[in-house]
Amino acid sequence: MSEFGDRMRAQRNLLQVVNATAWREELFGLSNQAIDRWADRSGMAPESEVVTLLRSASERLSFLANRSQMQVSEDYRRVSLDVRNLTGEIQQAIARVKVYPRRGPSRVRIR
Amino acid sequence: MHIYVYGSVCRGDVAPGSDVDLLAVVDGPDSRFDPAVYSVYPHRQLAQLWAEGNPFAWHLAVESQLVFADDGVDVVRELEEPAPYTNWQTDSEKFYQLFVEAAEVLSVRRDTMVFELATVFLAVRNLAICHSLRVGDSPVFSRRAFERLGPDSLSLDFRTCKVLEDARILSTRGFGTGPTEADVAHALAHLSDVDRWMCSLIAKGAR
Repeated sequence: MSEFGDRMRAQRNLLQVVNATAWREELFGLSNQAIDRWADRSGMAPESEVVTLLRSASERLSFLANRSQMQVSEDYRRVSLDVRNLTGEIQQAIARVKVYPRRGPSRVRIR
Repeated sequence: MHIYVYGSVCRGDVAPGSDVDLLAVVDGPDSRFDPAVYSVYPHRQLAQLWAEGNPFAWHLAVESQLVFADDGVDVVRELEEPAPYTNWQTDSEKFYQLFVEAAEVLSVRRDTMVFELATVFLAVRNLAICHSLRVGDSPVFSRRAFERLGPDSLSLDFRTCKVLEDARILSTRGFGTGPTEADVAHALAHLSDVDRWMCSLIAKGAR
């Protein structure tokens, strides 16, 4: 399968990890704008660990999220490994966040 | 340093949720350009895209506009026309596979629903762009390129098209509202139309 397809699957995997938690709104993508929106709706501070890690993953996949017509890249293996590691870190960071039920404004608290 | 604008702004094809696509052509690593804002390409890599006949090279060649050049040279125009597009078979298989995977995920789970619908839109749009390059008369790069292929256009009902396009804007720009359950059900019921259209274009390209 193509590098392009692999990167899309990496993005899907990361979104599935994040959206396994019942946030007020799912994370729709890994563009900066999509992360901003999700953080705002989830009551997540921009400097929180989860948001910071998501931005790191976004940087590595940025042309997938934002520049989809470019189908070339360099050093694919490194980026792929970075994203896999970040996905694990994000899963652990989310586990440290207590999520209140989806009623009214969303709030989160670090355990 | 050379800065270009390309995409919907150059086509006058703007809509809520549109962004401004910017290209920076640089001599080497240049921290002034945020990769989240600019597509950053060294000169040599841009020339390589031209030599490959890459769809992105064609996109830039057809519609990019120079905004700033520190040496007064329009480096994109100097590259002239990219090599002919020859990667149809690989690209078409890639985008069809992208569609198939998204459709499969949509059939079994909903936790990445918007992303999957957005992926369907991406696969359809990119296949349409590549088809227009393969046919060669007048390449199209618009968001709804699939509607501008003449007799090869995808005939998709308004609602399905809007659900897919809105998902794409939501996933990439964080703009808009998510689809309703009824919207999703409607779009899913029409994915077979998309499948048939993609297979039809791929079959034409294989002849």
